[in-house]
Amino acid sequence: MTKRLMRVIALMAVLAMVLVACGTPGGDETTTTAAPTTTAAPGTTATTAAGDTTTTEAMVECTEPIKVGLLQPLTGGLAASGGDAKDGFELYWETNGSTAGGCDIEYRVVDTAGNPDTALQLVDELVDNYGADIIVGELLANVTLALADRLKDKDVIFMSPIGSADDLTQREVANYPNFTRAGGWTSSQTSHVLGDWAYKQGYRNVATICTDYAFGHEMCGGFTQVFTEAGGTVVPAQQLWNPLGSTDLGTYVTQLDGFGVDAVFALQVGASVSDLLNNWTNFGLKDSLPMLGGEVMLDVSNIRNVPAEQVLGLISSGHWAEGLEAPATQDFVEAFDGAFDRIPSYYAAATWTAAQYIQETVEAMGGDISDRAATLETMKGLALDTPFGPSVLDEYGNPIYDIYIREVVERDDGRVWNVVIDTYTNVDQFWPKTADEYLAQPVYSRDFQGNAGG
Amino acid sequence: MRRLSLTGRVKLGLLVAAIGFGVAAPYIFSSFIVGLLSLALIAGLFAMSIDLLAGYAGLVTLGQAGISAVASYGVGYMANKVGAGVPAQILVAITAGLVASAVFAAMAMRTDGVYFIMITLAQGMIVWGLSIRLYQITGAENGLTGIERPSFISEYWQYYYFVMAVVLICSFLLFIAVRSPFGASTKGIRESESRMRMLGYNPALQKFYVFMISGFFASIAGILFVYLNEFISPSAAYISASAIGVLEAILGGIGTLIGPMIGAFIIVYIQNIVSTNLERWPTLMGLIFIVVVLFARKGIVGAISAGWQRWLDSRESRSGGPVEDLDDLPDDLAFESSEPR
Repeated sequence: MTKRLMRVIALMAVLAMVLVACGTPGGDETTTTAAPTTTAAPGTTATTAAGDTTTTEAMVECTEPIKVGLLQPLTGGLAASGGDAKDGFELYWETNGSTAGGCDIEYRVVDTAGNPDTALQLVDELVDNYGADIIVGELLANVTLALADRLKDKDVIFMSPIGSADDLTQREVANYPNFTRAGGWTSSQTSHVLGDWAYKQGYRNVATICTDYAFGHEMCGGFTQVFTEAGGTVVPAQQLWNPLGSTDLGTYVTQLDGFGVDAVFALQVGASVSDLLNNWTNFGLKDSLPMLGGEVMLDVSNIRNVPAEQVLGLISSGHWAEGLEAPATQDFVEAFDGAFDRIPSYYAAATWTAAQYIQETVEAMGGDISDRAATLETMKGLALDTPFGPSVLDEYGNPIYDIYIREVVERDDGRVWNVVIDTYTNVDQFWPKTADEYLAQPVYSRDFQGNAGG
Repeated sequence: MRRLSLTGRVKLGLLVAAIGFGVAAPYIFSSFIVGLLSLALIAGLFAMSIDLLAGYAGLVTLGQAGISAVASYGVGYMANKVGAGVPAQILVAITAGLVASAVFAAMAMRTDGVYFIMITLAQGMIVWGLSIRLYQITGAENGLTGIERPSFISEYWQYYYFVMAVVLICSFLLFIAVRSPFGASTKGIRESESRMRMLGYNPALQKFYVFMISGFFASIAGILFVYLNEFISPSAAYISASAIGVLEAILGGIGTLIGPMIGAFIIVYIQNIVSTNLERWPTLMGLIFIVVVLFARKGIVGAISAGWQRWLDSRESRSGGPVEDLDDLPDDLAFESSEPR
């Protein structure tokens, strides 16, 4: 009898949970129709002031709101980064008001859990049911590629401010006519610059350790090609590739120590970052062997979780430098820090910038973005002052940015962040080559690192 | 023809209602929901293939996604890298799935229990590892795109009907398999391997056959899946994909064919619909599993059929009428007799 009672209770509990889960369509925190606000908040970097919006509103009749769908991993191993991306996006609309060109802009955030198959199901929902005009894409390159392929024939604009697979705006660009990387970057774009900088510092022999997947291949390839073409040497046997998700990099670190090189280029993601930094310090290499980090490796999302002494003084390159002394950057950093009590990572800056591109583009189109091709052309014509610095798009839809050489320093409040020690201005995705030269070579892979010496 | 018992009539009625609902779905629901129904049907077929091993042979596998991913990659490779037509894609996919099944079965057929779990786990992870390493074949993390459904099922609703038809046929074949003498001897192995050996059966060979049949249906699910998403990447082979299949089978009711299908529908629902409204949907899923394992160890179908049987019993004891249903309960629903070892 008690057993049956327990069963009934259990069944009721499950039913109750399911009902709670689906009983609030649209009423939950992840589905937001942000009310138009006219408060000019401190983080405002857009050229659209509240006053302009009201004047255009009088001119354009906007029957339907512009709808934006944001796909991010909000659960699973990437939840922290995906959460930053979501927060940056939402903060932009809260700060700057969710109207443009007389239209309300509404958005919906969905959780992919970092799984491409789930993302493909959910994007159908966003496009077919929700009626999204713009999809802002995912964190992972593989999910981004899957989404780009699914969306290429659909009547939407697909923006990827984080997923950085090189070929989407390079060799494959013609396949994805509705794709733009506004607010984003290509993986090798930032490591090209570091290759040049490393050579100019006098480093001649460099070993690399990168995660063994497409993003690691592209980051490492970008560094290796520019560094070796400048005259440096990267011995192919001294390019180490560790599996994605490794958390015991001690053996790799001892190998790197034994190579007798001038410096090491490192690119790790996720839990491998703190493991590599920890080993680097424990093996006593922190002060003897310079480490040059790829962008994500020393992003504030990673370094805020490790002991400060392991990262202070490390050099990396990136299109995001939270310590950049520019008003647009510092306004954003302060707004984000004030709202969420943490220094924003590049994930947050990326979705903020994507939102900025959306608002500015809709404004420039007068609220009508039904002509997707014309909208993308308009977007390419914008020159924005973003938290990344000045941003314009090249003809392939990829931003041309200032790329920063960054150093990790301690702030007055005891937290660590990246400050700029050198700037390469107007770096496009092909730098220092021309587009034709660059596109003639294959995309970086384990087999092709663009190594001039070998 | 013998008149159907009450249980039989109810089951037939439910089956007809389910098929009727399935046929009507594209007229009622949006393309998104119909896409999810396709996904749930495919996930259900996949979970059934796991259940054939786990529920009938007593061999829990954690590597089934490896086999279906091999088939999916067969389609993806032929479409993306070779540029072959659909017949060649499917032929290669099924062959690859069966070859993988044969190799895996040969490795695992002499084990059982936790050893079988560990070997199949390793097998699945090998497929996952290869899918990440063999860039030229699998495209590594980036996966394979450029897969297109044949024109006659290119629309989402056409593909839905196609999936429904294939899954119905496969379910029917599985139904025949588990009720045949072959199915009976499979259950014999689950109950007592040594006794089956005494009776002259070769348990290892029997396991090999079951593994092959299971692998065949997993391959079909893999092929349906890759044409649904028109994309395949290593996450399809990862352990979590296998584990979800096992959980679907357990949730719905292991040792039944309809149970895994019901489990699949529930999981797909939570993953795709609840997740848009509830950020902590994995917690909800975890709670449901805990509740089911604690209070309904034979899954949802097991709990329902046990309740139904109790209702019949109490009705009979009230009316004192003939015992109509006891013999008629098909073997695959007779849970009380199949306690796990």
